[in-house]
Amino acid sequence: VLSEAFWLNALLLALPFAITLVAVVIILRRMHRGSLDRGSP
Amino acid sequence: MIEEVRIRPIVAPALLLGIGLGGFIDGILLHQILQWHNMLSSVRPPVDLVSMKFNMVWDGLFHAVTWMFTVVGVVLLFRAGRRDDVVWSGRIFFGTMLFGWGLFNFVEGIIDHLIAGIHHVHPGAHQLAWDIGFVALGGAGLMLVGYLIGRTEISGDRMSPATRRALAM
Repeated sequence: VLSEAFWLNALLLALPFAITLVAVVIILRRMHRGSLDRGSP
Repeated sequence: MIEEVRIRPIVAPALLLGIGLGGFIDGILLHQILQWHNMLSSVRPPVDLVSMKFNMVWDGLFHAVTWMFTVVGVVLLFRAGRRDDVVWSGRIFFGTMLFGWGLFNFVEGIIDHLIAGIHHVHPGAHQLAWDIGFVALGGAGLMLVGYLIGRTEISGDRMSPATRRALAM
């Protein structure tokens, strides 16, 4: 059941999660940088 | 303005839980209960049992990934709960969860529905309208609502007692 174009299907499944995760990391890093800019710990 | 460092430990798990639980809503409601689509239903329409089994496997893998996001979110939330300097705000938490849910819907809607076309929200007549509506309302709309809910706390317009206590420490 899994063998049919497995890697292409897996890529299409994983891509939205991966891009969303990158966006989450960017949001959190920007928040961190913002706090440092204001001199907080 | 609340220092971001005091909300970051609760924002990170809220984003991950929004993605994970939002993915579960997508899979449980749209895939299983309403049966509007499956993960690869435009690649291999589930018109017979073998095709249905094929789609069930990929729906299961989709749920497995959303489960992992949820678990990591719970772990991070548990760690945040052990800190006494974190702003324990329901509006920030649930607003950020909605933002994370909308963020995933937005990305998934553009990639899976509009670009790759591996499945559509409601295949058939007006499927493009359904796909665009999903990105606009379920994606950007939820992100906006979540941001506005969290912002009321961050900006100090309607600060909760829990937030005031955390900031007083």
